[in-house]
Amino acid sequence: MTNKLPQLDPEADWARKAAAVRRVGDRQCACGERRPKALIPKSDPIRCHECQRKKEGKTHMDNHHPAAKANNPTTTPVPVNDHRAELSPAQDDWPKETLENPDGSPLLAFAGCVRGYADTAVYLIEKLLLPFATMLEVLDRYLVNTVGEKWWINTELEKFSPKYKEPVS
Amino acid sequence: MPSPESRSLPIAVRVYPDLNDEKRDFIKSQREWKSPDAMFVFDTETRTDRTQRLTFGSYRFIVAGRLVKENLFRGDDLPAKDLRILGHYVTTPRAVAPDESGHDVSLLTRHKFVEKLFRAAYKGRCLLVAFNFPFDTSRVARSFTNARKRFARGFSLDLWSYQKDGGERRHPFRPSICIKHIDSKRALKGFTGRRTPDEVDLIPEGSTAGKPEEGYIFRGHFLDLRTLAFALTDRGYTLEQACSDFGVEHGKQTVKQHGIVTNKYIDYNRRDVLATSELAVKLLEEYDKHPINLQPTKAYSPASIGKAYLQAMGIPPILERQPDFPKRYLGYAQSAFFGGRTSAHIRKVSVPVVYTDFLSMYPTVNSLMDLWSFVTAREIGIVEHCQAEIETFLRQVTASRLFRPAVWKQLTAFVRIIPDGDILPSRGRYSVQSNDWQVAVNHLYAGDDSLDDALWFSLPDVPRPRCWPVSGRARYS
Repeated sequence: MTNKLPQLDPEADWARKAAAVRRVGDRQCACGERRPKALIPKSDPIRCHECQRKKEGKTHMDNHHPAAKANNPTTTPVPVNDHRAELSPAQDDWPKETLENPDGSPLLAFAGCVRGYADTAVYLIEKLLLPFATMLEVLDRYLVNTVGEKWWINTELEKFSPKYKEPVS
Repeated sequence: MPSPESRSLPIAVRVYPDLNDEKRDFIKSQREWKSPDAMFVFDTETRTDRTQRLTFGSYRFIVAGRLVKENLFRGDDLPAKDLRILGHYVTTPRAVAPDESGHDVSLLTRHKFVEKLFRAAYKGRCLLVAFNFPFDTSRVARSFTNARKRFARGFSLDLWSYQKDGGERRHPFRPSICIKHIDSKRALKGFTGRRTPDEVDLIPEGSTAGKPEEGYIFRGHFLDLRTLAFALTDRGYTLEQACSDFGVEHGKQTVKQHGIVTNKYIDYNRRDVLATSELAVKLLEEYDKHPINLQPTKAYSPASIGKAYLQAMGIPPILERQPDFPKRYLGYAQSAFFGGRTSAHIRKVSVPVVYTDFLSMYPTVNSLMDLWSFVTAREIGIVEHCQAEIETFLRQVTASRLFRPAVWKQLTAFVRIIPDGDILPSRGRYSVQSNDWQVAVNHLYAGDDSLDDALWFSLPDVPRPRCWPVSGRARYS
């Protein structure tokens, strides 16, 4: 996630990631979650935040402050594992003054909004759009194998082909 | 007794240090080591006067093979003119390789640079890469002291500091970097411990459970490419030669004048870092071809790689497979070790010569004397007090007999003798000029013919001694 946008302090980001990896070793949650920051290092057997919440009968959704709490109260619900492993670490790379904005500077508040919007957009693109691109590519390969090359000809999907030309009436 | 012309000279022998009681961090970790996915590559430029103080330098931080940051850094006491040139340079940085995309470059103070280095190399445990690492690291240090313990007789470099009462002080919560030279191509390097380390810094490398271990000290992943190139090839390399031999795409360039900060000189430094980073990739690729479990940062010489191969072949060191092997015999063997040496007995006189190629002498001798059997033996036994047997053997030795390969295999013995003018190897300070300990083959006399002056030699070093009071022989099974 934090690799998607230009990083302000890549050395510190690397250090945080490396520390998270070190804390969990090569363990993963029984549910398959293995992102280090989504795991609770001191749990034994190791468990992710989402499974822990479910075990405690709590919601597995978190209210994320995209612009950081100090800059804007707006929240958006996100799964706790994504909150811990993606969105909060992205904010760790922000300038400390923007993230904490202790004096309530309006400019820093807007800077936080811009950074938060960018981070959330990248997160949503990754979660909502990119999986479909992958799925479409897999489906195309499947149709080539089962129906044949140029499987779309003489189907309703033909008009979506970039080489399609409207028939002359 | 010594001839009237002879004079006494102290000699030295190698010893076997029994390290059993040393601290825990001497014990080699058996954990599988995974190469870090990031490397922090840096190079410095210095003044050309005797102080060789830092003028500026640059670094590249590379994660998963991708450049994520490149910055310049500067010395603390740079003249205003040099500062202006560096400041102007970073406003419009040029690409140092034609096919590299443009990117921002900032100018950091030395203090900020070492902060980045701390994050990446200590907290993040990435590879810290340089060519001739001790020199560049010492240039960015703010002070040094004499190192202690495992780095005794080396340097302890303080890189990190903090401001207090208007002055700069050594940071007590940061480690130092210790460097102890072995020779011009190799040095032991490591972070020291630090006061109250974070819990996450106490998690050992390769830990699968992620549990901190009290007393653990992360020593760092310092990769000196000069050392690694030597370990891989047995050759001492310059950066330029190494780039050429290992097929680095953007090799080292030249600059007309060193020490004066100019745009071209800054380009030259940045290009050096690019060349170093590409060389690191090439050397690590080459290193990965060896199926051994040895960190490339710990490959100090071809012998290190050889030892790792023995481990990979399932051949543990003698004390691992035979823990009760008497250590005093290791001491005898160690004191009898003189290694390879060459000498010219006739100098500055033209004489006919026969060229004899003694390349790979160690493996050749190892094979011809059947020493490999000692390496692979399940158990090595010692046969003591075989003086008569050795004496008989030596009495029968003739020059022509020593040319028989079968005889070479009978030379696997150590003998203890009181030298009486015998021609034997010894280690002494033969040169007044250099004052180094050097090995020479000379007439050797004991001080007072007592057993206290007896010395151990390997049998091949003792063709015809005049006396041999005690002897020992090794056998394998």
